[in-house]
Amino acid sequence: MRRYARLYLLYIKSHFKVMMEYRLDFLLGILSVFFQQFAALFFLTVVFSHIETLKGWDYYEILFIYGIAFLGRAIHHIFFDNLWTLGWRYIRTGNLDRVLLRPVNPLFQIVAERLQQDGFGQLLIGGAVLYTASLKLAIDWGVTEVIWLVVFVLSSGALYIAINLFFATLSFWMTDSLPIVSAVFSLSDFARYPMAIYSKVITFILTFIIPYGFTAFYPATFFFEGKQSAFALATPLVAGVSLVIAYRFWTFGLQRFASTGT
Amino acid sequence: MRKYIALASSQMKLEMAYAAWYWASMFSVTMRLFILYFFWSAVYENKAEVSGIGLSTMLTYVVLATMIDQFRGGAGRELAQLIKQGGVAIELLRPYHLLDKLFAQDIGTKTSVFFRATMPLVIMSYFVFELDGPVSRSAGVAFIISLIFAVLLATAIDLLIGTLAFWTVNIWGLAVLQEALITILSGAIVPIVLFPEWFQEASRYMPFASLVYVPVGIYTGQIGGNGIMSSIMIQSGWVVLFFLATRWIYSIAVRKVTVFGG
Repeated sequence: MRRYARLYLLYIKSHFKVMMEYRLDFLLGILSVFFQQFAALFFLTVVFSHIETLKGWDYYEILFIYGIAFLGRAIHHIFFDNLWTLGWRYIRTGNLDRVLLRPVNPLFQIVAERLQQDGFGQLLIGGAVLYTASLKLAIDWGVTEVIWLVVFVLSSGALYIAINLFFATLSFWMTDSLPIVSAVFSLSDFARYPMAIYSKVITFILTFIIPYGFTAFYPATFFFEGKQSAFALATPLVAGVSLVIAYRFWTFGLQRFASTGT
Repeated sequence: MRKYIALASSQMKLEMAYAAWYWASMFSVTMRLFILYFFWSAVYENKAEVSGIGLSTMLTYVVLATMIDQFRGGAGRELAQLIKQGGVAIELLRPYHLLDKLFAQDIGTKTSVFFRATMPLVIMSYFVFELDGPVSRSAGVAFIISLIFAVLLATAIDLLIGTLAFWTVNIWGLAVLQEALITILSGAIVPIVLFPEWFQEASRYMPFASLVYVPVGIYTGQIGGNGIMSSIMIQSGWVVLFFLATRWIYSIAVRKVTVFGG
């Protein structure tokens, strides 16, 4: 464990050196994320200038949901972005064999080989959005609430990671599963709004099959007076189970790949 | 025998890779349309109109806008790539005008996308979301004319940004800015009539509304009467202006290239 921590620190050091070398790219990356999120917030603000509530949910409640989703995504984006490249950067090019030769967990190596700087912009915006929304929501902040918020944000990040890892693993069979990963990822946009606005089928899928509902909406309801979802407190459990399933699937795929690939 | 089976299976994988991308993007766009559908249905839950627009008109607007927004262009990125990697030097030797070549290719791509992806999605949307037809037959005709100008304008703007790569090499920052401006100001996510007054006024002097709002607004009746004629005139004006500006900047740049390349 300590060896892995020390290794990761070394990786991060070299990532920062690269970032400092290309400072302009770093700033542009953050700027681009700002613009993207700004468009989403702009949309929400324009619509809410014409309505008071969306099926009973007001502007700041939806902002709060957005904020948690942004933060969860940022965690995944900064530290686990390399999962997207498993197919075309590791399997197709044979780079995976290089990774497999080393006496360190292959998943750890792949994840550590990239630090997505754009995610820091998302982290900033997510924090700002969450802060603004919580000021208007009259949430009774105590130690428990803060701890739950941290747990929820980490769980949200873990869910994004688990879902991407699961579908990236399909690359072991089909060389590059990126189309599937990105198609599944597009479902995460559903998580930005209260589940109540969707049909039952969609709610069921987002709760029990691909649990994006737990990346923002369910945990966010914990903080809304009288609107708590029964699922809110299950969030860390769902995240943990998803991680275990995804990692098991990854190990299974890796074993199959190693035994036939070469 | 075994080697032929291996060949057949690798060919199958290749075919699947192309098909996978097609279906993945169809899936993502479909999901986006569903999110829009549920979101707007929820907005209209206790309301008959928002800024004078009813639910079915709004759904028609956002679906068409989302589809047209897929035609933002790619010719500019192609040009920027050629400049960055030096391929432009060889292109300049060839017996055609590089801008015209890129333009022709872009129209080819967009025509193919239109029949392969846009048409099926639009037809599906008409049945699933029960969209409206054009407000009148003449509006339908005007919509098609306006749509063509909108696609031309998108290509022209993209080529202009691409040409700037002669000076900046990396146009990434500019491209990001262009993305964000178009997303927000073109009316791609929400009809411009929902914007605050001053914003609508400002958008009258910018080319972005011509990209999405004008064609879709004509179709749904937000733009009617004399407005149709003048909007299309303004669109064609922007198209001509951007094409001339691109040519002019390009000719300056090519002179510069020759001087340094010597």
